[in-house]
Amino acid sequence: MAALTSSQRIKAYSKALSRNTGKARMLIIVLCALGCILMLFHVITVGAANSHYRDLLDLAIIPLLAAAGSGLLLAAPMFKELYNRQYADVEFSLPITASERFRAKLLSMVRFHLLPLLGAEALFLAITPFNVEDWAGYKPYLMICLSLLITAIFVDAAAVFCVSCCGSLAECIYTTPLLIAGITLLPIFFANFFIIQPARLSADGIAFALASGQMPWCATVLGLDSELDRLTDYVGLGATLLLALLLILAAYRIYLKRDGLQTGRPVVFPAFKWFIASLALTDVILLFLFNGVYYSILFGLLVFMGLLFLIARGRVSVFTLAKWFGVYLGIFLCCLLTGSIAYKTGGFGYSRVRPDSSCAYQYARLDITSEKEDKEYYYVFHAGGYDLDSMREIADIISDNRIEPKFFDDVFNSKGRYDYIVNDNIRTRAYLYIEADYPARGYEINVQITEEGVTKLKELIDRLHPSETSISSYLYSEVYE
Amino acid sequence: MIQMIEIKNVSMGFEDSKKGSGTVALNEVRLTVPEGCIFGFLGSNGAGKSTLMRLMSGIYRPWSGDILIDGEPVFDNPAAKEKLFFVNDETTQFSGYTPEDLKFFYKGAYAGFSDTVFERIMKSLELPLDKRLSTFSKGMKRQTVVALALAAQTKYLFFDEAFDGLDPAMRRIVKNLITDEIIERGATLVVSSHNITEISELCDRAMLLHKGELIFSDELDNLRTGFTKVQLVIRDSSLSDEGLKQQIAALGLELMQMSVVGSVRQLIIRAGENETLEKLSQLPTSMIETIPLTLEEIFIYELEVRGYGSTDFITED
Repeated sequence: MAALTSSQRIKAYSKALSRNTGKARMLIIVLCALGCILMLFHVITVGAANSHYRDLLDLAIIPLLAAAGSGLLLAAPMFKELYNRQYADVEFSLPITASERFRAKLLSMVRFHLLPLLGAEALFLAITPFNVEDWAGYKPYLMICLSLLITAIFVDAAAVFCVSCCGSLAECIYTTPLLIAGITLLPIFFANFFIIQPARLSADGIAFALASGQMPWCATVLGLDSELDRLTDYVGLGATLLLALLLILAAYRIYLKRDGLQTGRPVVFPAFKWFIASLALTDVILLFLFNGVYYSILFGLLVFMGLLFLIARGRVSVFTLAKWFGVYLGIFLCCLLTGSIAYKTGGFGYSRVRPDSSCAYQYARLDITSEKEDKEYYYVFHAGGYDLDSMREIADIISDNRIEPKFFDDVFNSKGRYDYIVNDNIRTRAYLYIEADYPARGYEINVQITEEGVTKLKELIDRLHPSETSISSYLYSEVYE
Repeated sequence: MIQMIEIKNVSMGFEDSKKGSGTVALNEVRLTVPEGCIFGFLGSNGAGKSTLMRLMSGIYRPWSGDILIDGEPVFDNPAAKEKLFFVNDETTQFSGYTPEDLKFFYKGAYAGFSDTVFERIMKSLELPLDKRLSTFSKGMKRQTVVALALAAQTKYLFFDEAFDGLDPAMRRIVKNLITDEIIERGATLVVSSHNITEISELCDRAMLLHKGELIFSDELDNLRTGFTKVQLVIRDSSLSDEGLKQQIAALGLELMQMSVVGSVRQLIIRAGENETLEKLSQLPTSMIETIPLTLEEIFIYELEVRGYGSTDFITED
């Protein structure tokens, strides 16, 4: 008999693996079919433009999203030899190299996970043009499908990476969502805490763009209202795809290093343990720093120690605990150090990276909410055509009069600390939303100012724009009690 | 081309990542498994038999040394691995599969897998092809795996505790099945077992491992002729056991074990029968005769010499 070639071995082995994942494959096919039918139902019956039926679209996306996330279910049984000794004996003794085995399993993941999703999306996208009027109506659906596909690839990559590093099924199961959440949230938290906040901006749009890029399904689920065709979304999708490829490459290198001996051991490569624990800790620190440093210290410690304890399967000594605590302190101090640098430099210079002076702002809106004697007053100012300097002056007044202290304001005695004593029964909150002609640079200033500050602001606006185009003339007279 | 399995100075162990240290499972093992033989791996619990077999199957990577199958290294090498099939000591894997599924699985890996052989063996063992292994008894699972191993048509078959879980009748059937198949094909069988009787019945060669060290490896006939069991009566009843041991040592014989029943002393000597009788005849004996020595006794005495108890060995009568 003739020996098999490498590609024949990969194909044959990939085919043979199909028997190992029957239930997960069936689930994926059912979810894809259901999602496709619901999406088609949405398009055919109500059309893309009818916003009243957004719920139906969201409902249709859920099964497809679940199908995209099903890589979690597929990777563990596909790579069973990495945590099950009996399978390790069988698979490591078969006449196939580690590289071929890995590629065969990846091929199986593509066949059993991505192909059904791709098939459902292709069917949906093929029928949709007959039910939408133009490209503008078609494009959001295309973006949804692309986002879901890239999400599926990212989930598969993360799951394969985790299973390659772990020695038990339980570890594969809990580290994969941790990795996905950690990687997805870190850029958002980083941007918010180290760039947007220190620049004294609150740019939900930027955070959302990062979210949608890092985890495309966020954008998909949160709604078509977001501009999915923005540059940041394409960058985000590309970054997610690149990250998935890097994870696969790392998993491949790790897989080649393994033999049957590592099967069943706690997390096989210690570097992975520290990577997962540090990622989770950094996310938790940044998440809770918004609410105060003490929450960060407490929850960070709980998550970090808990995770390491879990990975060590409860076998710890006093020395180990001391070592973990040292690493925890190190990471915490790194976060604080980065935060202090960010705060001193205005978000690593982001506060200075605004549209240049030639850029006229297209639109500005100032929302002021004032609570006085159990009544809430709400003022809205709209204006357009401001120059950069005027808008900066407005922004500075608001920024200088903020009354809500931030963590680093207190720590570093920085510019943002409040100057006004607040009357206990008067609280005023102002939002200034400024949109430039380049949407990606749009930002929002989210502060609380005193009532006196509001008065100063009104005076300033009137002084800057005494003509009839002044902001006051755009007062909507929307005063709610 | 070299047609055999060569194990050259192989060392391997299990690292304790927490302590940063390791336990040596095999230490500088050198062994040759010639083509076409039935080779028995014997050893005490934790001696390293299964570890060695996994190394030979390419499941583990040795710390040092080489394992060659027909001259080619085995680890991560399909050219060498397509010549071997490893059957481990468990039957818990693939419980969701049917034998038909498993046939499909192994066909994807072994180019020479024979449907005909597999179906013939399954039929002869009266095993269903379409029922999940989870519904099989341990013995039935073991038979199924043996059928798969034989159907893969590999040149080398490694069975680690392969006959566990089989009743004596089925054990004989499966053994006959294996020997018929491998003799017909000229294949090589390597079997590890605690059961010395089984090894002595089945194998023509054997080796003994103890605490990762190779004690000996040879043809069974040579092993038997290398030891002699004698019983003798010494005329001088005042000669103590210690005195006798000194006299035997002075004759240039290695005494492995001595037991006393009344005036009769039973000795196990590491030497051929003729040499033993010739030298012992110089002692003042009133009676001396050799008695048959079993393989089990050889192994037990070898281990006892090294301070290991004999309770781990089972004799099947």
